[in-house]
Amino acid sequence: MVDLFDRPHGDFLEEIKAAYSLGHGVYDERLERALSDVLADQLGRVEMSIRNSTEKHVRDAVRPAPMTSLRDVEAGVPFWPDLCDNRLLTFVQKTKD
Amino acid sequence: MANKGFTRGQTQVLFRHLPEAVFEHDDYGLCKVTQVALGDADVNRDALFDAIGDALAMWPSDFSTKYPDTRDVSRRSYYAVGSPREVRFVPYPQVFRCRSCSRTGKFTDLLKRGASASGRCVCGGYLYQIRYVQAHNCGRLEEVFVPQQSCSNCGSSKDLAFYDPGRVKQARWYCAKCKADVQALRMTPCKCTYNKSLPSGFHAEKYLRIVPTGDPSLYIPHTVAFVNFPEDDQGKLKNAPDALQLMLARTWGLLKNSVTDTIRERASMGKPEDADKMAETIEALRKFDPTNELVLEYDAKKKAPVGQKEVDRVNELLNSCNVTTTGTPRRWLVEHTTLLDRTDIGTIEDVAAIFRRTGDEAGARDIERGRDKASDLLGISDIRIVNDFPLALCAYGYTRTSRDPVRTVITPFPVDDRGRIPVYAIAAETEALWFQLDPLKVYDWLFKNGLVDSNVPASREEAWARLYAAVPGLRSSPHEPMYDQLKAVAVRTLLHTMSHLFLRRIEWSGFAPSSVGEYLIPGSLSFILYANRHAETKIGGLTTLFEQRLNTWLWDAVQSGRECVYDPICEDGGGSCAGCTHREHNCVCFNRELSRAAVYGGPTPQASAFQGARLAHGYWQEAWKAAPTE
Repeated sequence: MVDLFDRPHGDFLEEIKAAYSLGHGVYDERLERALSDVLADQLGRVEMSIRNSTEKHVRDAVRPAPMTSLRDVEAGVPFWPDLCDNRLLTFVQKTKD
Repeated sequence: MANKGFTRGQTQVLFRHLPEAVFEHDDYGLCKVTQVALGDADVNRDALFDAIGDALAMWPSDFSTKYPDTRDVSRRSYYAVGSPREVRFVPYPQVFRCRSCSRTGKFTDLLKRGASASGRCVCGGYLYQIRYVQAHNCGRLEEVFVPQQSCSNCGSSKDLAFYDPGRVKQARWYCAKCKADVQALRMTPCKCTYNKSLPSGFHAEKYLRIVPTGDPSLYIPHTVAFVNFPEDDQGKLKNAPDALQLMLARTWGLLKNSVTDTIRERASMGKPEDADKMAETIEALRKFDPTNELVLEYDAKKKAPVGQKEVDRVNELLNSCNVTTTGTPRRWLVEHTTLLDRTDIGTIEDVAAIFRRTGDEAGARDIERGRDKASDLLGISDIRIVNDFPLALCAYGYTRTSRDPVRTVITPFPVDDRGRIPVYAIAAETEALWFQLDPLKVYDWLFKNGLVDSNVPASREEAWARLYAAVPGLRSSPHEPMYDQLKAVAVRTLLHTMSHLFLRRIEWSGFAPSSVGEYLIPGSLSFILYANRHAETKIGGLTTLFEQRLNTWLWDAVQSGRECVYDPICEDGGGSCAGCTHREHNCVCFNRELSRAAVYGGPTPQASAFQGARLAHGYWQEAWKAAPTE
């Protein structure tokens, strides 16, 4: 990630803008400008969080912590069978299979 | 056998996996939730119980008797409040049917037939759980009744089969051996409070209804949202001297500083040690320079503490309406002032200023046009974006077969090991749009519709005071008699209808209407539309809508709000139906107190408090002037 920021000829921000289809006439002028500003601002924050971090991995350094899956949106609540006849659990698993 | 880590998010649990819900498990098939363990929940318990009390008041008193009174502080110990931490379940229903021969039986009967080890029928066919259960409006849930008698023709007791054509009337029990008919599906009667409320004689709702396990009406959790302000702050605010007047002053726009700061400053003036030190210093300064600015300021402060002018003004306004202000502020007032004082609020002026700083004059003008249109033609004095709306959502019970409080008995979740009723709550900060109506326009609207007698007041503050005096129902709870005051119903209908009409076009934000909730604060003529997300992240859809598309959205909502696919029938019948104002999800009032007549004029619903009377003047009567011109 740091390499990406430091690449001599690359412009990471421009690549991100391209990923959002900015500069292709998709959005109207005002929205385009607003989106560009937000992207620049947010990239600045991410860059700062990485550069100022002592974490070993980028994924641990990025703030706000990135979402890696839709399930990450919320912490999962685990489901467990309640006390009941074990034969019933086996039976329903067999019927499910 | 090993569980593969079946998990669901907290919000999902709150809506779909609370106790007594039937759901499909990846490994165990159809299951019923038996209990949900509670974790810590950072919620304001006073506000929570108050909100539950208001929500339960929607049911007839006979239909909510299973709840200890949440308004009685001493009975709140019967409840356990927390967030969902772990879900326990059992396979349900435990009636199985063979795919090949249709033989059907309960698990206990199958055990006797030796089928449990294989999960197969005696014929070798695959067994599966019957996907029907019986449910009643009182909350009762039963498995499909399996006849226990032997076949009257061949005497077999092991060959009972179920004919399932997909229609309850045609479904039959029969003998798989001799094909003799056994009986139809049983209509199980129920002896419950709900049945007692029905007229005597045959009534289909007196019996349990056969419902597919996937039917959403099988389990309808009831949730209530409330503004989750910190409990300590609430206590300090409520108990401070003149708190009611200060909060009213803040809500009515008289007090510019935050109520918390004002109360703190007033309290510190009263502390003897601070006052002594300050007095000594000032007196020393006075000897040296009696006209010093600090001396004069101190004298003025002594004479009138911060906020006193506003307190006096509120008292004066209310006295002129023959109202005396006593008692502690109610939840709606604390909510309104807390939102104003403690949240990160963006105004239209803020956004326009940002646009101008970045050289986007067109954007600034567009959002200002939206503001002017809202204020001049739609009677909305303020639209704000709240970036950290402190919302808590709590599930307090469930109904079956219907959501409507008149047709169901609300049932609390089964008590925990310590005999307490669980209440599941999750708190989060989300984004929200906050609308506040102009009290002058509201008063004018009431006057033009013959709901108030006296003429329109000269200023906003007078209009606030007059509304406070004339419409006490606006600040009452549903269980209080004044709540049903016609004027109050009218204003709530207006607010509620506007909220739904704006939600009809909320797609401009990128959110589906079902993903946005509404929160009404009738006492301050406000309604709030919030992103119904209870996660740490915010999508920013409402923020973007506010900043980029406010003008377009407002106009689109106002224009399309007139339309209903069922017009003119709907319009003649009061302008409120599933085709226009009704919402499938997230309506706090169960789609009551809605009518397009409130905003566009016309006949009101026959079943409403207006009993079909015509509202001559719509609140958005002038909105057509906002039509774009060439």
